[in-house]
Amino acid sequence: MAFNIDNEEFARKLNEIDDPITNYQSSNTNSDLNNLIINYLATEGYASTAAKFAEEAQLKTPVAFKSIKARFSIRDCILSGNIVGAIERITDLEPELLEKQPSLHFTLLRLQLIELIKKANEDDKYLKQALDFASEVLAPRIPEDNPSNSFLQSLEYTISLLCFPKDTLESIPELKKLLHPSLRLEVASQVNKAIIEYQGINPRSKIWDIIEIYHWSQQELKDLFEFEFPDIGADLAVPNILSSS
Amino acid sequence: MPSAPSLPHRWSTNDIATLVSVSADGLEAKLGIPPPNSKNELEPAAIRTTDPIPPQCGVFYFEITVVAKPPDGCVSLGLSGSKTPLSRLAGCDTDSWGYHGDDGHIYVCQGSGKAYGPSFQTGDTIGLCVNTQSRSAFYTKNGLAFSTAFKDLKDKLYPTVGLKPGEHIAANFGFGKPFLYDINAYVQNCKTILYKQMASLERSFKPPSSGITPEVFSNAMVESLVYSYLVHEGYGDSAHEFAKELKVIGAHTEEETDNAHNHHRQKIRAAVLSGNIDRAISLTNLFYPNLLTQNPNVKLQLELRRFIEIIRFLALRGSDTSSADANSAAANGGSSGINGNGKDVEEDLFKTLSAMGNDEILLHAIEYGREIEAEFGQDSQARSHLEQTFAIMTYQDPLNSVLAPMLDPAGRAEVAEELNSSIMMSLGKSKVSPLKTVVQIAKLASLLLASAGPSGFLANIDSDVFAPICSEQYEEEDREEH
Repeated sequence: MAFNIDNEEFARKLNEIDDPITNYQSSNTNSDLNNLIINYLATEGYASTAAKFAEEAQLKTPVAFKSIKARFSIRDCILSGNIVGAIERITDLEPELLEKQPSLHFTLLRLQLIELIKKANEDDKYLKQALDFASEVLAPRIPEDNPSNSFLQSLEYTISLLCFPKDTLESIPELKKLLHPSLRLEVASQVNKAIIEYQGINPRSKIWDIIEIYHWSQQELKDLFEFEFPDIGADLAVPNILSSS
Repeated sequence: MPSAPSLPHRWSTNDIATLVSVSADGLEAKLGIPPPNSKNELEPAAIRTTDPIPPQCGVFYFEITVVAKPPDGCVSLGLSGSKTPLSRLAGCDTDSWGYHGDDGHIYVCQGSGKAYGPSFQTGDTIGLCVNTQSRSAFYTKNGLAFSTAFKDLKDKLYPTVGLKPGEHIAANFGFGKPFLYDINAYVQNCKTILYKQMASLERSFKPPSSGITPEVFSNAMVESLVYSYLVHEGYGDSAHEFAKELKVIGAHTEEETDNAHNHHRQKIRAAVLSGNIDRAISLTNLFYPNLLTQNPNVKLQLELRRFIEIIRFLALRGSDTSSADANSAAANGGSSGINGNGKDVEEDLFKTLSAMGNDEILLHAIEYGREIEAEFGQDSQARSHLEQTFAIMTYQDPLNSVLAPMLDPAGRAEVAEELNSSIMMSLGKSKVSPLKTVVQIAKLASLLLASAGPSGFLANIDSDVFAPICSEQYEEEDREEH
C-alpha cells in the first residue's frame, strides 16, 4: 500500500481529530487532558500542585492522592540529601515496605553513604563516620552466601569514592555519576514509584503512554508515509523550563 | 477520516446451495437433507459472511455453536476468500482454511488435513480468532484456546462454515452476546506486547545538547509539557505551584514573563468555571476589548452558557433542598483568584438573579433567548446550537430531564477552553497547548496506522489512555493525608 501525506493534509487531518462533527471517534475535550494532568501530578507526587489544580479545574482527586503529601516530603528529604529523614518518613508511611524490598533499602542507604562521602571529601572529620556507616550498616546487608551479589559490587564502587581525590573523579565516569545530583532525583523517583506500587496504585502516569504511542507511531509511519512528525522537544515549541544552571 | 469498514456480522445468502437456509438475523444456518428419491448425493455446502475481516481490525474473533449434527456429519469452521467455491467443507479448496469436527484435523487449502485438536459435536461451541497483525489464527472449544492453527493467512478472508446435510449451527459475531472464550484477555495481552515494544523505543529520544542524561531529559520534557499546559489553559495558580515544586526538586524554572495576561486569563477562566458568565464577559471586554466581536462563535457559546446558567439557577432555586447551592453559587461568584491585582469588574450574574423573583427570571431567560436568536439566528450552524439549547425550556423539571447533562457545571469547562483559546490566538500564541498537539498527533498517527495496517488498532489513545483515567477510582476526601 502506498501512502503519502504532505504538511497541508497533515494539518487538515489534525484539525479534524478533535472535531466531533468530522470525527466519528470520540473527540477529546480539555477535561480529558485535565484528567491526564491530575493523574500525572498525583502519581508523581507533586502534592501542592495537584491540590491546587484539582481546585482550579474543579476535578475530583484521583486515587493516587493517597499519601501524596507524605510522598512529597519523602522526595523533598531525598533531594536535599536528608536520607535519614526520608527513611524515617517511609517507615512511618509504610512500616514494612523497606523490609520487604531490601534492594530499595540498600539503594537508600547507599545514597546516605554517598552523602557522607561528599561531606568527607570536604571535611576529613566525616571520614570515619562514612567508613563506620559502610562497615556497620551497609556491609551486614550483603548476603554472606552470595558474595558476588550486586550489593557488594555497588558498595565497593561507592567506597572507592573515598580513595580518589576530587579532581581525579572527573575523569572516571562511573564514579562521577555517583556524585551527580541526578542520582538523588533517580532514587527519589524510585522510592515514589515503590511506595505507590506498594499501595496498589499504577505507578506509571498515563502521559507516558501518550508519549510512547507518539514515538512508536512516528517510527512505524516513517516507512509508510514520507512524512516527518514534529519532534516533541524541538518542534512543538515546548518552553524548556529547565534552564541550564 | 476514512469510515470504519464493516466487520463480519452475518452469513451471506448469495451463491449458497439451494438446500442451505439462513435465519432472518443472519446468525443461524442449516443444510437440509435432500428428499430420498432425489438424485442428489449428500453434497456438503459452505456459507461465508457478507463482509470479510478487515486487515486493520487487528484481532477478529467469533464463535459458532453446533445446534444439530448427525452422527456421520462434519461441521467445519474456517476462513475463505471471496472467490472460493461454496461446494466443499472449509479448508478443502484453494484460499480456504478449516478445522473439522469429525476428526479434529485442520485443513489448509487442500483435501488432506493434519491433527490439531479434539473433534466436536452437537452442543459444542467452537471459536476462531484471527490476528491480522501476525496473519495467524487459532481455535477455541467451549472457551479453551488451542495453539496456532494457521500462519501466513491472506488479507480480507471471510469467516466460513462448511456443513453436511442435516447440520445446523448458530454463530455469535460478538454483537451483544458474550463469548465463551475470554477474547478481551487475549487482546489485552497483544496490547501489552505492543506497549512493551513501544517502551523499548523510549531510548530513541533525541539526546539533549547539554550534559543531562536522557532519562532526566525526558522527565524534563514531560514536566515542561505539563507546565506549558497549565500556563496555556490559564491555570495560573497551579502553574505557579508546579514551578515552585519543581524548584524544590532542583529544577530551575523560568516562569512565563507575560504574567499580566496569565492573571487575566486565570480570572476569566475562574469566572466561567463558576458559571458567572456576566463576570466572564465583562472581564473579557475589559482586558481584551475586541475579542468577542472578532470571535462571534465564542460569544455565542458564552451567551448560550449564560442562558443555561439562568435556567440552572432557576431549577436549583425551585427545589427547596438545593436552594443553598444556588445562593452559595451567587456568593462565590467566581471572584476568587489573584487578589488585589489591578482592575476588576462589578458584573455578577448570580447577584443579579438572586435579586429577581422566579417569574421575573423566566421572563428574563425568554427575552435573553430572543436576543441571542436575533443576533445569531441567521447562521444555520448557530441555529442548531440555539435550538438544542432552548429545548431545555420545554421541561418542567430540567434537572431530572433527558437534557439534564446540559445543565451540568462540567459543560462550563468547554466554554472556558474556547474562550481561552481565542485569547491565546489574539495574543499571537498557539491556539492549543503543546500537550494537546502531542495528543492530537498521536491520535492522528494511530488512525493513519490503522488505515495502513493492523498494529494501529491495538494502540488506541482513547481506550488505553483516557478511558482508564476516567474510570479510575476517586479517593474520599477524608482519606487524604494531611
